[in-house]
Amino acid sequence: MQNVLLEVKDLHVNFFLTEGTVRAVNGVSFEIERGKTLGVVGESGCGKSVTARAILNMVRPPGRILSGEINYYGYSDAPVNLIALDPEGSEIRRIRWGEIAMIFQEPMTSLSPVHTIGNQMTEAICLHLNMPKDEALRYSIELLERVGLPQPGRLLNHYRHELSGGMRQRVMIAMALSCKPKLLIADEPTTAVDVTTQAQVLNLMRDLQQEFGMAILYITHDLGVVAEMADKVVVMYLGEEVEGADVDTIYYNPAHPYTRALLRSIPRHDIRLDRLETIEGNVPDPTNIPKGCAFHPRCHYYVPAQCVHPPYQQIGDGHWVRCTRAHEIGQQSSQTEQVL
Amino acid sequence: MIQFIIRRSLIAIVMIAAISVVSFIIIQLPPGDYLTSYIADLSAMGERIPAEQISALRDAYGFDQPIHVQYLKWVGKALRGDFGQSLEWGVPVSMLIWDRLGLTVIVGLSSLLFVWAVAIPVGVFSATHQYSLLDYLFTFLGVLGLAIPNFLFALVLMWVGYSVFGQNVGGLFSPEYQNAPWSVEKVLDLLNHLLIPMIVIGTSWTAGLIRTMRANMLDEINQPYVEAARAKGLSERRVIWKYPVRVALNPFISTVGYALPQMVGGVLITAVVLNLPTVGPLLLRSLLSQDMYMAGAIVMLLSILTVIGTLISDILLAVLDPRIRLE
Repeated sequence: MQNVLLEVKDLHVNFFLTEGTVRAVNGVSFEIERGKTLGVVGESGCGKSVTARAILNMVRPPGRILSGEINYYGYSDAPVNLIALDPEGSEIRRIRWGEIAMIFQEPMTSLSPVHTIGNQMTEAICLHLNMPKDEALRYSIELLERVGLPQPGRLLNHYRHELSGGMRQRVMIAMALSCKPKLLIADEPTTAVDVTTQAQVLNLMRDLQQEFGMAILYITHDLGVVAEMADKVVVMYLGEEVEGADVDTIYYNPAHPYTRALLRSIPRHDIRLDRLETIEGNVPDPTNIPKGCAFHPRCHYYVPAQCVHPPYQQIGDGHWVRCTRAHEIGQQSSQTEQVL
Repeated sequence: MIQFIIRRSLIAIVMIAAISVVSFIIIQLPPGDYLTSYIADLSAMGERIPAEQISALRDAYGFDQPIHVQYLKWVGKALRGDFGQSLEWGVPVSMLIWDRLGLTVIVGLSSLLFVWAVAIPVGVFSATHQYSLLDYLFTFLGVLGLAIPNFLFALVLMWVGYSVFGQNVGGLFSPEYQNAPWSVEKVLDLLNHLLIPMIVIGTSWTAGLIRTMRANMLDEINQPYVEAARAKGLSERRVIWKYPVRVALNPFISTVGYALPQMVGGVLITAVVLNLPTVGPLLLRSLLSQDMYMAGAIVMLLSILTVIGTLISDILLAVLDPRIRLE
């Protein structure tokens, strides 16, 4: 237990929209260990970004955290339940960025259009590290240098529209590292940048993780990226975890039909296919989640009598699956079908 | 940045030249001229004017010369601050106009300040508390302010000011300061009288700007950079006022440019009801009596002030928003 940095327990977040109530996060539980990387994978709308925001206790209306616990073990032996804190209070504000920092999907829009890079960088540094302005500026230059940006001194006076996509994400990373957080939440940080830049950003994050010793919660829809980054993986579908295991198990021995379908839909260079496989059907309307197993309308293995409310159960060492037929599927696949 | 200012200033000068032509044409558009209506008035009273006297008058006013010569003469003099005689008042236009123009600017700017002081905080509140009771209340009050005719509101406020606070209402000065030289007391008296026009003129304008501010804020408030600021641990107030408000303010800066034309055209009836010594009523009167030098001077000066106002707001926008400096 002493290795656990953050523990999410039975988290429920709802969005109250005029179209109906969306159970964006529906009973999610996972743990993040110190210095390790947890990958959270899923299609858009599966609740992974909402989970990230819940950790910082910044779910905004019409969303609301209904129940659950998010225990942070970062700065004392006694856990702090982050979602029990006042979302505008001083304690959660100290934890935000100081203990848990976050980088966002769109580096373009997550920087202010009318403030300089320097202004936005020093702001957090002055706030959390109590540095005077000039010292914060010097420190910012160091950080920008560390993430491999050229001419960091000049960069401080630039605005976001004067930087390229990769530079912006580097700036965000430098900013997120400024207060040496113990946990970095990365919400699809490479979705908006091109593939070469993506590789650079991922390498940078891995190097920095070693150097700073922080844990990373890596949110993405890209299983390929997760394979490179994560130690453990949680797969989410419609606000629920459908499978969780260490990264090798997920890739070589996936048990949930959804995980298997996701893996098959990764383009590969070693197998020639005429068409890229896709998952049949669409993500259902989130205000009207299918009864029983939420994945059943898209599932090849669906048997009406068996697939009623599958529980999230352990089927191997640290391997959790929400599927009543997981054992059968596992046997089947080893005989008939090569997944990877 | 300096390049931007120089380029904008040059454009402004060209603009002013073009406006001078347009205002001159507008003055010339109505059939006849001041002399024609003067003669018509005299003949209506049964007086006969000898033909040579008429042509002498025409000569003196230059009405016989081709139109472009008349224009050049008018502009040439205007550049030296001489806008000609007011045909109606019989005194130089410049004697009548500067005081009123100054007061117009004062009333305009104070209304603008009132509008900002109300619209910005209310708009921000409405956006951050969308669909709350107070949001609906402000929306209701805003629509009410927009719907009540200004002159009616002016009359009500005058009555309240007079009967409840025993104030001397109407005009911008109490009678004892009307012609007094400027002094501290006179300024205080002016500020006292400014309150009602400021509120009357500001109300309808405020309603519109609250809506603008609210809509802009709602666009900005869910932007990722706001979320990033919140994730940094800034206090909620700091998050809101430093980031989305700053971006949503742009349309307010533009209001600097049209505060003055608004003061003259938009609130003319209010100015008449409140007996404000601004240029609006003066312009109306000079247009009715075809006092062309007076009308031309007012149109010209207002346009120049508007162009300058726009220039200032453009420069302010460029200072506030780095993206604008690019183009």
